[in-house]
Amino acid sequence: MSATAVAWQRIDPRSIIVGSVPRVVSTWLTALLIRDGIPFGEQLLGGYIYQVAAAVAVAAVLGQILRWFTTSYVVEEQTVRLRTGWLLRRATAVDRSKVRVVVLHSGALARPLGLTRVSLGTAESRVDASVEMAWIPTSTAQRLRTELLDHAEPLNRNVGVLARGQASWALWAPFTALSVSLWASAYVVAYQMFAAYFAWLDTLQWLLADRNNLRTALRALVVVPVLVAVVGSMLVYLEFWWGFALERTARGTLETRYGLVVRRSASLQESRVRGVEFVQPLLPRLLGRGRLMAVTTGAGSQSTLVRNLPVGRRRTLLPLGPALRATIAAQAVLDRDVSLAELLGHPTQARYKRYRWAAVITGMWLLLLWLLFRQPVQERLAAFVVVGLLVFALALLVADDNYRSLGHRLDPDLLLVRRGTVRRTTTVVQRRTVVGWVFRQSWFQYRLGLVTAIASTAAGRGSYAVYDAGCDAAVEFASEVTPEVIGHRLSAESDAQIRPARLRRR
Amino acid sequence: MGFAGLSVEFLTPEILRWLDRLSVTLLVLGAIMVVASPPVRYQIHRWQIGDDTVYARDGLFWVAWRITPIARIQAVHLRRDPLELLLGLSSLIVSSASSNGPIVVVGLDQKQAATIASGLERAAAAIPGEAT
Repeated sequence: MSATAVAWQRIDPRSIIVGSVPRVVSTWLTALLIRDGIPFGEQLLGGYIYQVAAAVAVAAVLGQILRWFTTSYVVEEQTVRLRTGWLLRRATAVDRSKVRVVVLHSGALARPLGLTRVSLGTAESRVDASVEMAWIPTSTAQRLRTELLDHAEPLNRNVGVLARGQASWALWAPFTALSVSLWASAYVVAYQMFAAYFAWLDTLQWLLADRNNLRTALRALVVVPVLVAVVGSMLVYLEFWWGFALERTARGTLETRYGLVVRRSASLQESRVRGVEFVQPLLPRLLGRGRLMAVTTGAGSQSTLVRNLPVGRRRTLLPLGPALRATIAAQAVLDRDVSLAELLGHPTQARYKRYRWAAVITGMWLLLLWLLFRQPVQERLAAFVVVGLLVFALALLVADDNYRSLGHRLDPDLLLVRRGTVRRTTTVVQRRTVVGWVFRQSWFQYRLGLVTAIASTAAGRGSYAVYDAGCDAAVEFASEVTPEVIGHRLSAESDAQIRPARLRRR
Repeated sequence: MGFAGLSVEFLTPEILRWLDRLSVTLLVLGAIMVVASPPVRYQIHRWQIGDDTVYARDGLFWVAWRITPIARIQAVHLRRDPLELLLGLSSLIVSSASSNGPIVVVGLDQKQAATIASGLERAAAAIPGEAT
């Protein structure tokens, strides 16, 4: 499509099918669930559940037809315009030079039909300012993407595949936070099913009656759910991340492609990439694994633009995999010899602060338990003390780990910040992204001589904090990143106002 | 049974008495805050506009120092709420491209605030670049 094509385009008529099928199916499933899933369900809605569901489904299909009829778009020389809606009309125009990311998605239903959803992301974080063309022929979608990202100035860097995922990485998928919840839910479901058949005491008697029964129970309650969760999470990982490749194109974009059943791809304009983030949930971290994400300006740091891909996934540069591979990918993306480990630690006071908090919080919980349930607790005092000590020890461990997660470092033009226990994040951003600083100091931090230095950025989450740094170190750090912020004041008289360190001597 | 029965059972006279005490305490604390916080806030709120930065400090137990280079200013706003209008005051809001919150200087003299705002705008506009 050349720049002269200014005719308004309809979305593909088969969008009606793609849009309707999931709505009809989900309506029907909901009706089924209400009818058979809840007590007295069949009497709800006057017993006309299926009729109501049919009406809702018909309305949904009509809505889709209407949507097809009223939605059209045009790609002009300067602008992409989209009109949609019947009673509530919406016309959106996006400046082509502001388009920062183009995401293509084709689901299991759309792919066989040769349809793709195109979402355009700009710096604007408002959802209603986003443009989404669902659904248009895949070939048109691909052409659109090339065309819309054309304005990015090409960078003089290695073009080609920067990193690939491996199918074997799926072996570690059962350890992510998501699969932990999958484990839990599988367990709960199995337990519920089991408990429904046997009342609690009867179950106990039945279990103790025969060793075989015990084995059956174990199989039902532990082995099966665990297997389901393990295999399930691996399959989910494989389906999602199959054939992952991160590629730098000659057009100055970073493109990722992945997916087995649903093929996904996202492209980020490289001139908008301001850094990378290495994210390690607790269990993968203990196994030396993590995933690499891009830190970008605009491109949906907060926007909920692309519904099919959770915001984080869209910025994925490498799925959960070995730290080494993530580091290599980070180096390729940033074009720097950057290490994601070897950060500077924080003062010991930061560790004591965490110990203290851990002690106070667990102490308060135990006290509360004691106050609320004094009678039963006193009856089982020994158990209470043992559990209390265990919880206390665990809290101290977490506190210690949280302290050891803290870190920061300055590379020639990069700023590195690390934090987090449950989800440790190592963020690498270009120094030029920092647009200001906020220093925060609570009364406790003031007593310990600590301060939290938060770099305000125009990219990613908008702020990256160096938690509990030493006062002087934080100021030096900040003034090295943005000399104009503090540099000229170090000798000035207003120094006392600006330096958190001085507050202690006030 | 049912939720209604549960809540009636839950609100025993003793608990109601505790709720009373809690509300009285909150009211007293609120009253103290209303009386004490304006002078305290006035004392601790500091701001400064340097050659190339805007800076503000606020907070008593949780102190926050906010610093933005003038080169990175995206917008300068003046805000006048009805009370400020009545007292001839203005608030100066300096925002950057970050979502980490703007610098807010509360309760400036209206004329002074306008002068500062236009000065800042000019200084920011004089520096080339996208300010991101």
